[in-house]
Amino acid sequence: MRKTLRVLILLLMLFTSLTAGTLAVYTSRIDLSPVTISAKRFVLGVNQGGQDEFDLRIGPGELVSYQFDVTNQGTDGGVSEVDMDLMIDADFTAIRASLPDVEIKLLLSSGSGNIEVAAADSSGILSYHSSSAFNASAAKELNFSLTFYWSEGGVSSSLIEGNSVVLPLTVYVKGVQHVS
Amino acid sequence: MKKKLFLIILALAILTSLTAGTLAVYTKTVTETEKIEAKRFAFSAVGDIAGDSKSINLAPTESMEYDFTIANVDSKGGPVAEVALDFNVTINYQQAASQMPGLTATLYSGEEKVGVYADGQITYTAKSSASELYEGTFKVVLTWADDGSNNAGQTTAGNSKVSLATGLTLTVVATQAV
Repeated sequence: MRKTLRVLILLLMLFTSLTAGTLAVYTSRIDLSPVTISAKRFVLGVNQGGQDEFDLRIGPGELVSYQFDVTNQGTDGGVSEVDMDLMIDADFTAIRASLPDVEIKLLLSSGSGNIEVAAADSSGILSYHSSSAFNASAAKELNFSLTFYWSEGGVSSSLIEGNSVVLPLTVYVKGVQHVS
Repeated sequence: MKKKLFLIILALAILTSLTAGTLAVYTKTVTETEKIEAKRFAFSAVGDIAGDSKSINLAPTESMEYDFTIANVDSKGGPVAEVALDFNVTINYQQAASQMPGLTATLYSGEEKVGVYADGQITYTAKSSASELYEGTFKVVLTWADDGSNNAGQTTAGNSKVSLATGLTLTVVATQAV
């Protein structure tokens, strides 16, 4: 019995020493420097708001306008890091229905004055699309005017017959990352 | 009596001289010194963003690349590891992917796509042989995909200019192959 026990203990010691020896291996770890991942800044700023409602008072023979500015620079000074397309859309069908003689135009301010860039069609829809209106990382502001001219002697005057009417106007300004 | 004593002494003298004589043997001592050395373990990993950029800065639809190499030498031109090595690579970009919806990463060995892909993580294993130079060249291509379904989330990320200092982490563990 004792002899058997001694043999068993000896075998166990041999086995343990063999196993312990094979667990010792070379190993090393390298952590490469972490890399910053960020999203390119995207900014569309519109003075008076990106989507706006306003009331304008206009009479026959009068021209009224509404100004708004569009920029690719935020209030914190950050500039869009992508080229941006600009879309300005407005629905003046209500005005067209009530005041068919009113001419509605979108003007863009330039060095030589205001340039007409869009006009409402016969149904009252106005649409302006400019590809790459803004370049990446170049701060820029575009100054627009929406003008309403009610020419005298038209049909509209008789339709209103001295009564005033308030018609809501909605303009949508949208910036989209330009993708080549 | 005297004669007996004399004979004993004589025999003793002879015996002693024989014994002493037989103790004189050729001897030579040879001393040898052998070295015991540990086999060399050598390993290096280096990486950087492709081009001159200091960070991965993406807009939707854009891609950038991070290149890295693994070798079984401590430095270029240095002695090669004398043991076979297993390299385990772990690439993590989970946090960036969660804040920039649509962000993906792909690991290439040369031009071949490799690795096991989980949510915001890539793992890959490579091997080198003992005393044979191994230099593995890899690239991680990060793409901010735009399939049109993440416009709102991507725009939000761009409006706030999401930026993560540890957006991409890369760890390599080299272990002696047994």
